[in-house]
Amino acid sequence: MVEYCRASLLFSTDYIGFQLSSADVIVIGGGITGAAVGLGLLEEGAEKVFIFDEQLPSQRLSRGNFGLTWFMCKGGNNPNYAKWCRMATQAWPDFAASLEAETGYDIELEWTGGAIHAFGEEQFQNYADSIEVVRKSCAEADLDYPVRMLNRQEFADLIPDIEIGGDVSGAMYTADQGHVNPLLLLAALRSAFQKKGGTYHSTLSVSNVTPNNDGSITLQTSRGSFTCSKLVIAAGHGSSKLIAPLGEKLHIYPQRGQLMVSERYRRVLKVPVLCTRQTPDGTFLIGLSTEDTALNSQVTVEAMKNQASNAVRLFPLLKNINWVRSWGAIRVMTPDGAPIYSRLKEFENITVLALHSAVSLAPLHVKAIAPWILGKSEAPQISHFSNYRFNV
Amino acid sequence: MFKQETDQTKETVKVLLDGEPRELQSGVSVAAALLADGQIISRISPSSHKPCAPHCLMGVCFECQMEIDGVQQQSCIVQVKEGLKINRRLTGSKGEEK
Repeated sequence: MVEYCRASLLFSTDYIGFQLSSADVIVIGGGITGAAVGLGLLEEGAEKVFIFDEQLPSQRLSRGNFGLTWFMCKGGNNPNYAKWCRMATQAWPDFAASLEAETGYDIELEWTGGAIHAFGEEQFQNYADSIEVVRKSCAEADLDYPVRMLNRQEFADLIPDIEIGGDVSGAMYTADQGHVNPLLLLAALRSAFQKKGGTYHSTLSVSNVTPNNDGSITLQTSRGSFTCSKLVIAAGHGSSKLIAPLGEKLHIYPQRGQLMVSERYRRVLKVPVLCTRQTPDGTFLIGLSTEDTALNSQVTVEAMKNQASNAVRLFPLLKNINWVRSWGAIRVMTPDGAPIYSRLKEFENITVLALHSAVSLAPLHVKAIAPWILGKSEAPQISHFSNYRFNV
Repeated sequence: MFKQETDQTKETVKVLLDGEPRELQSGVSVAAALLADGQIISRISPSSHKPCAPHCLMGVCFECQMEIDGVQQQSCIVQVKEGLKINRRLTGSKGEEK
């Protein structure tokens, strides 16, 4: 009774109000993945969809993204993942165009291809060999793998406005990928979600998920309780503690990445390299660090020194430019690197999404994951990405 | 547009602004001294090629960056001193050449 009174009191003073306290689908997590899936759910006909976003400092990995729309090198040991990444990349140009038409956001997609540089002959040969490994994996999924090695001269010709360092022996390259502004992508997804009638709640924390006997789900939140027919949990590292009381262990671990951002410089690098890209507004970004530091998102001199010296070895110009900002963010990693898309066994109307590469995979989260969540269609790959694949 | 604090010195020193000798107020940042002198444009954006002006005046936005004594730096955090060589490169549209 006391609990009931307190809840009523909360509702009476809260702008959300009674009439909005139940939804068809609630998505916990308003990052790139949560917003993409929320948008897809509305496109697939779900009527009342809420996104709850907690905005914890440690949970802001969608703001730390490098912004590549990339399939190269992904899925060498996993044909399903290779195919999934490729499908996502192929969908990107149309996806960006439709987002812009819908929201007015130009998310700065540039379909210029992408490269990974090699230093020295040994690394060059290793990269060449790795292409064959992924090509074999892709062949198992009836997929080509349009990636090739460029020698030093070919790489230099690809990016003629910036000088490459003396140690650069060449690069692995594909013409079929690109890069975007990940912050604008996040804004565009949330905008499209709300334009389609979705409700986005920021600074709302979910403390408890309770499946009810009638099949509905009740959420206890910092703004009262909510019920929904289906629940999507896309809350990054916050997801584990939400499903643990339901007896589910989420197989993810945190991995920190750090980024550095330069002053604006005239546009000299139009093809993104895995560790360095230049945005259309002239900013250079470098970053490729991976560290095991739990949920600590601080930056360190050590990691920045490493990635800066690597970038300067690739593009000597970068040592003359002012570096103005840096930040760290915590990736959601899975043991095999592929995403987790999983309905809970005991509670089939609860779906968990946990992954890195949220930018690259975003088109499929709108077009394939959302209808799968609603039970409307089943892309054949999705079953391979269950959380239960790690239970051995 | 910009008013001077009354308790500040009005002393000026000689600097070289875009190759021309000029008197700027001492004791304040280069950005502030230039604004007080009516010089609103701080640089030409190297990417959009449009003019920029100091925006935050506290070392964050980098819109006031210019070459001071041979180094690209934020003019809002460099104090005016006798003999500074300040180059904004407001002509030409190719951005910074280094």
